[in-house]
This record gives sequence, structure tokens and C-alpha cells, in this order.
Amino acid sequence: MQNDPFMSHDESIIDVSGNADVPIHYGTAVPENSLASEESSSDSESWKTGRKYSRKLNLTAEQAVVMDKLWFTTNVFNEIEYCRIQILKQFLRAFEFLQNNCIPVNRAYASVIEELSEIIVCLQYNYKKDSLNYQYTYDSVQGEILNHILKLCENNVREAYGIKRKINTDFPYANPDIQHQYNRKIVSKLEIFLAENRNQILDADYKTNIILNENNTSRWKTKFDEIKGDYSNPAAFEREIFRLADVNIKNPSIDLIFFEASKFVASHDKNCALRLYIHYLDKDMNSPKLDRKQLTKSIQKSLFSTTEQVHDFERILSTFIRDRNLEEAIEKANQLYLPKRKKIVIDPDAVEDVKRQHSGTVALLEEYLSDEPETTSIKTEDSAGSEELTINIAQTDAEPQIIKYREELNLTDIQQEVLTLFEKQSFNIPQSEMSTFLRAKNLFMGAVIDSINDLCYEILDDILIEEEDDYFTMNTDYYKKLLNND
Amino acid sequence: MIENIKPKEATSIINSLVSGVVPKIGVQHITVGRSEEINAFINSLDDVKNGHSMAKFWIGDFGSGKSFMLHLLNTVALKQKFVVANADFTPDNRIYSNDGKSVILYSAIMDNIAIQTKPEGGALQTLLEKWIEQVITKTAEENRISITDIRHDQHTDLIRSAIMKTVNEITEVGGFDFGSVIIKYYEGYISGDDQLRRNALKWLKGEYSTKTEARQDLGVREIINDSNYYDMLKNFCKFFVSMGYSGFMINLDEAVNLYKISTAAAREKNYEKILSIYNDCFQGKVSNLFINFAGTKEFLENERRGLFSYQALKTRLETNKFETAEIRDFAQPVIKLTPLDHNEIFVLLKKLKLIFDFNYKTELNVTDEDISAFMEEMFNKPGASEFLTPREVIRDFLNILNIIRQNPGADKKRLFGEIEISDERPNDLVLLDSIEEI
Repeated sequence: MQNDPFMSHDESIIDVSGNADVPIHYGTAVPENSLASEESSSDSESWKTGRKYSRKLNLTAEQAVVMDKLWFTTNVFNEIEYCRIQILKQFLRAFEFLQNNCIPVNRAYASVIEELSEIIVCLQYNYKKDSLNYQYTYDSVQGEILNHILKLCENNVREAYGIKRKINTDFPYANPDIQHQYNRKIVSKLEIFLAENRNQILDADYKTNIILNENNTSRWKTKFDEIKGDYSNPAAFEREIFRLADVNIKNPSIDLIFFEASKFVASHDKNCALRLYIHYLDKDMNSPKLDRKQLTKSIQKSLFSTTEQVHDFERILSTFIRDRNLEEAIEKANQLYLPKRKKIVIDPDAVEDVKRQHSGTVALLEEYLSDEPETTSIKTEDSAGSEELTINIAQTDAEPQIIKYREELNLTDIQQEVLTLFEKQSFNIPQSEMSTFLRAKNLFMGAVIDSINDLCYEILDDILIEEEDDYFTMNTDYYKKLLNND
Repeated sequence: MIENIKPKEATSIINSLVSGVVPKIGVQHITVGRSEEINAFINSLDDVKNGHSMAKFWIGDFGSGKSFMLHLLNTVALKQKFVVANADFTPDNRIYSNDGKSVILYSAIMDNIAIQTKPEGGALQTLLEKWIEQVITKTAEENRISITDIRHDQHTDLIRSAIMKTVNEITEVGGFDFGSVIIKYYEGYISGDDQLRRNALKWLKGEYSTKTEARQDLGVREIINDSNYYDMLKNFCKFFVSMGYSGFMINLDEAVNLYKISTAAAREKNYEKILSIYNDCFQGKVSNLFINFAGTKEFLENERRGLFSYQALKTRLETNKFETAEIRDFAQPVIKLTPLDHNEIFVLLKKLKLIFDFNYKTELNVTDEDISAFMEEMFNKPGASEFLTPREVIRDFLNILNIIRQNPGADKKRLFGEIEISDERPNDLVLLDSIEEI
């Protein structure tokens, strides 16, 4: 196209006039009809690949001429413009490689393609160079070779884009010599080149990926395997899965991406697995065919340690199926493994019942814990256990002139003496001294002290005389309580 | 709700519970949720007072309130004129043995003998002297000698024979030595021979390990040993009752130590002894004796090592088959202490708040909703389901009340949030299953 003076223009100049193109008159007398015929001829060849992609691929004249010989057997893959451009770019690289690196044995030929074209014409058609059909057939064979290379490039791009299906690349000439020569001189070398230069193919863009994934429903698996291999943490994994799902938005198998992701991540992060499973269900319900795949038993076992967790998750799913609130379901799943906060439910009736019973118990215990009226009689069992003998603990018969201690205590003389002794000795008496004092009266110290404590317990509700190391001590406040205040 | 509570009871309750121990007085005010158990116990206590005997097994897991119940039994029994003795089973004592471990248990019981006026234990000497005093008084009356004159030396023989006669009347096995030792005690006291008196007490407490030593010190032929200690306990029971006491209550806690005996034969012998005590109590072979065993569910129900491993005990102690969680039978020998439910804990905390207010003469702004929120916070703490006990709930609640009392502006929610639950279970609890069978 650049060779065409009428069509050539500077790409840096943008037409903003809005006027239709007006041919510039160069002053050279060019017949009107000849111009028209040129234009029409250029228009008629605009379908040719070289012309069509001349600007897009910034082709040289030579490249354009070569490309004009190419034609695509259209298919879903190469109809995608982005893919077609990548195929052509790879073709150009391949062509350049053949031109520069595959030197023909016979130096009379400019390139290995020309050499091979000649070989095929001779071997297959047996045309002489000067025969009428020669040139035509030669051009045709050269076109076939170039288009075969184009097919190899398309498969190379398919491979780069993870498309498993390849187009047929059988060479049209079955002659073993031709096959041999062709393979040796071109295919074997190209195969190595293409494999080594696959990385030169640009990654498919977003739109292309969407179309590719729509048509190749299992294409996601390659990328998914990569994501699995690169697993480092659940957050990054989930992010990558969502990216993958984004470019599979038109893929009818998008639900499987989430299902497989959920299965994989179950051994790494339970919450992430549950979230992805809910996404799976969401996509599954949007698909024309409802699968509702279940996670395997072993995965379920690893995800749920209690049946309560299973039931909780089932509840989340059934609610989600009903109301389709994805966010809420995800939120609930995030809470599933958190320790359940136990609600304390206080039942007012039960509380009243407990209070009532407790009041009864307190009353009963008060009764049993209250001091029983002290009896001065002590029951003694005889051997037969039938008779009861009542013994009065020594009581003073004579009324003391001044009653020092409260009458209801019924203290004996000796008990009063002991209390007075405490008073005299500042309520602190060595046990040895008390022992001597009581032994002099042939009385047992333990028995006397206990009998006083026993009698006074009723009034004090506590012990009057306490043992502290080698001393007997008495609480003065308690002592005052025993005094007769009349 | 807190009518009849005395100020010193309130103080005792708050101070003790803050320290995590059962209050000495006023314990009846915090018996929420244990009405049935208490009724059962009171009935049993009345039966024992009336001459029956009883063996009860208080079964509950860590923190279920066994010790609280035993303490309550103690308090009530002391007030009801019982002689009470508490002892814990340990790895060093047994209810049956032939290497002196049973006498260790017996000594622990005798050391801890308590009466109302000596509630902390060590009342054996007092009881002994009280009894001798009674015999002297009785002898004086019978012989028409004045109570002062009978204490003179010329009547010593009279008192000696009266002691022996009375002892013979109340004892069955080992009465002669028992009586002789009491006479030695009397003689030691009268003559001012403290050593003799101490030796007599030593004998009664089972602290003589050889007969020779006992014969040298006291002139008696026998000592209290593994095979006769239970007879001696029965003698003491009669002895106490003869003095006017309502009965003898023995509380044996930490029975899981029997479960832990590694030799199957030794364990079985111990359970056999429990069976014989159980039979004595319920067949009327002994009067006014109340024995309580406290232990865990494992101790009772484990078919391999627990009481249920001994078939004769299993048939006696098995749960009434008509009993359910709702319909309980507290007349059974086994009383299972179930954990307090939320409503009961709520009532308990509410009551404690009132007692707290009463004690500090204040009225804290802690509502029912606050109590609920506190409980919810407690029960949702990590570890709550495994080892949270009422003791800890109560202690934390009172601690928070103390903070609010002293800092009225304190944020209750923040205080509740700061609670941490610690595992207060004894270390060996988790190791029970790892005991090797020999």
C-alpha cells in the first residue's frame, strides 16, 4: 500500500476537518480513467491479507506482498482479531527466520521457500521452467508453503493461549521426497523456532480471553493449575480465582472453577473453601443445568468437625438458595467456625421457682442452725440402752448475793470463778495456769472450758474462750454481754 | 430476698467468697439451687439423731459443689450437736490396708474431731474430759458423795471402776483396753502426769505403732491398728452419744484416691470395706453414725476401677431407674450434684449483690440485665465449658462489685470483658486415665 502514491499518507497527521478526502492535484497529467482503474484495482485487492494489515502491523512493501499470498481458513479462533494479529506477527517472525537462517543449497534461489517451491513444481508437476504453466504453478505452490507456515503459526498461537484443539497442518503434497525435503528444510527448523519464540506472542487481552474461554470451556484448567501451584495464602488464592472467573464470565463451566477451587483450598483454609463453595452454588444456579455438586465425604470431614457445623452450613446454603443473598451467605460462612456465643436465657418463672425453693431452704436451715435451748440434762445410755438417766450438772443451790452474770446462763460457781479469773488477768490466761487452777479443784480443764463455751454459745453465737498457742483468750465484748446489767 | 441475714454473716459471706472459700457462718444464705439435696440431708440427719445410721455418697465433678455441701453438712451437724470429723483420702491412707495406711486415716479422723465449741477440730481431749466429768458426777450421785469430795484420792478406785463399767457398757470390741486407757488419762490428770495423759491420747488417736511400746507406756496389750480401727470408731460413736451428742458424722472427701489405687486387689479390698460400713449403717448394726463419701463420677461409676467395679456395691449404689433429670430421688445413698443452671446462678448472683449492698451499706447500680450480661460474658470465655466453676463466677462477680463500689464511674462492660478464666483443676485430674493397672 505504501507503494501506492494515492493511498500513502503520514500516520502522524490526523484529519480533523470533517471534509471528505480531496485528491491533491500534482499537476501531472494523469488520465482520469487510469486513476479510477488504479483505485478500483486497489479496492478489489483490499481483502488481501497484506493490504488489510499493512497499517496495523506496520508492514514493509515486501512483507505486504508476502502476506497478500496468505489466506485464513476461518475458524472461531482465528476470527478473533487479536488472535489473527498474533498469528500474523508470529508468521512474520517465522518468515524472517527462514529468510535469514535457512540458506538454500542452491544459491540461485533467494530463499529456502523459493528453492522448495521449485522442487515441488518439478517433483509434483514436472513442469519445465520455460513451460507456460510453470510460473503460475510456482506462485501457487509458494502460496501453499506460506499458508502452511501460517497454519503452523496459528497452532503455535493456539498453544500459547492454551487452546488444546489444533488445526490440521498436513502438507498438501504426499510425495515422500517432497515431504522429506519440506520437513527437513522448513518444518523441522520452524518447529524449533516457534517453540523457542512462543513467548513473543503477546498474552491474550481481556476481551480475547473472554471469547476464548467461552468457546473453550476447559481452557481455565491450565491457569487454575498454575494458581494451585503458586498457592501461598488463601487471600491471594481467592483473588486469583476471582480473576480467572472474570475472564470466564461467558464460560458455561464457570461454576466448576469455584467448585474445584473450593476442593483444593479445603485442606488449606476452611473458611475460604466454604466461601468458594457458595460462589460455586451461585454460578451453578445461574447456569442452565443445575448440578449442585457435593464436596466429597473426606473433604466434608476435614471441613466440619461437628454435625452442628454441617447443619449450620446446610442452613446457610438453603437460605441462600431461597433468597439468593450471596453477601449474607458469605458473611454467615465466615462466622461458621467462630466459637458460638452462648446466649443466656433467664426464665422469670424458673427464677421465681428457684427463689421460692431457696427461701424455704434458708428457713429450714435457719431452724437447724439456730441455737437450741440448752438443756442441763445429759442423756446417758446404759448397756441395755433402754433406761435414761438424768444427771444435773452441778448447780449452785444457794443464790449468790450479787448476781454478776446473766441469770439465764445458769453458770455454776466454778464457771463463774473461771470467768472472773479471766477478767482479773486481762482476759488472757496461760493454759498451764488454768490447768493448775482447775486441777487444784480436781476438775478437768477441757471439760470446764467447754462447758462455759457451751452455755455462752446461745447468747454469743460464737466461742467465748479460745485457745491461742499456750494461752486461753477471751473476747472482751463477748464478756460484757454475759454481765448482768441490772 | 435477704431477710434474716445478720451483719456478721454478710461480712463473712462476702469476705470468704472473694477469697474463694466457703464462709464459716451464714452459709445457708448461699444455698441456691441445692434445696432438694439439703432437704435430703436434713432428713438423714434427723434419722441419725433418732438412732439410725447412714452412708451417703456425694458425687460430682470438679467444681460441682461437693466441698461446699460437705461444709454445709458440717455446719448444720455441729449445730445439731453432732461430733463431726473430716478427713481427705490421700495416696498415703486407705479405708482398708494391712500396712498401716488405714490407721493413718483413723488418726486423721481423730485429729479432726470437732464439736460446736471447737469447730476447727482437736476436740478429742475436751470430749474425753467432759465424759470423765460426767462419770464422776454420776458416781458421786450414785454413791451419795458430794461432787467435791468424790475428787479426793480415797475415791479414785471408785471412779476407776465407774469408768471401766461405763466403758464396758458402751463398747463391744476392744472395750477393756479402751477403758484402761481412759483410766490412765484420768490418773494422769489427777496426778499431774502430763506424759501419761499424752500417752493415753496418743493411744486413742492410733499413734502407737507397736504393742510393746503401748504396754510399756500404758500397760495395755492392744493398740489401734488397721484391723480394729473401724471398731474403735464405732466405740467412739457410742461414747459420744452416751455423752448426749446426737451422733458421729465422718466426712471423707477426695475418694478418687481410692479409684487411683493401682492394684486391683487392694482397690477391691477397700471397696469391700466400704460395703461393710454401708451394710452396718443400713442394717442397723451401728447407731447414730453418719458417714459421707465425696468423690467424682469416675470414682462411682467407672466399671473398671470405680465403686461400680465391685458388683455388690454397684447393685446398692446404682441410680434409681425411675429417676430422670427432672424427677430426682434424693433418698438414695448416692446424691449426684448436678451443676447449677443459669437461672440458679442468676438468683445466686442477685442475692450476693443484695448481701454485698447490705454489707457495705450501699446500693450499687448493677441491674438484672447487668448480671445477665456478666454471666453471658463468663460463659462465653475460652475454656468456660471445660473448667468454669461457680466458685470462679462468684469470685469474679464480687471482685467486679468491689471495683464498682470503689469506682462508681467504672465501665461495667469493660470490666466484664476483662474477665479471664483460669483452669483451677488439680493437675492430676487429667491424668486419671493414665494410671497403670498393676
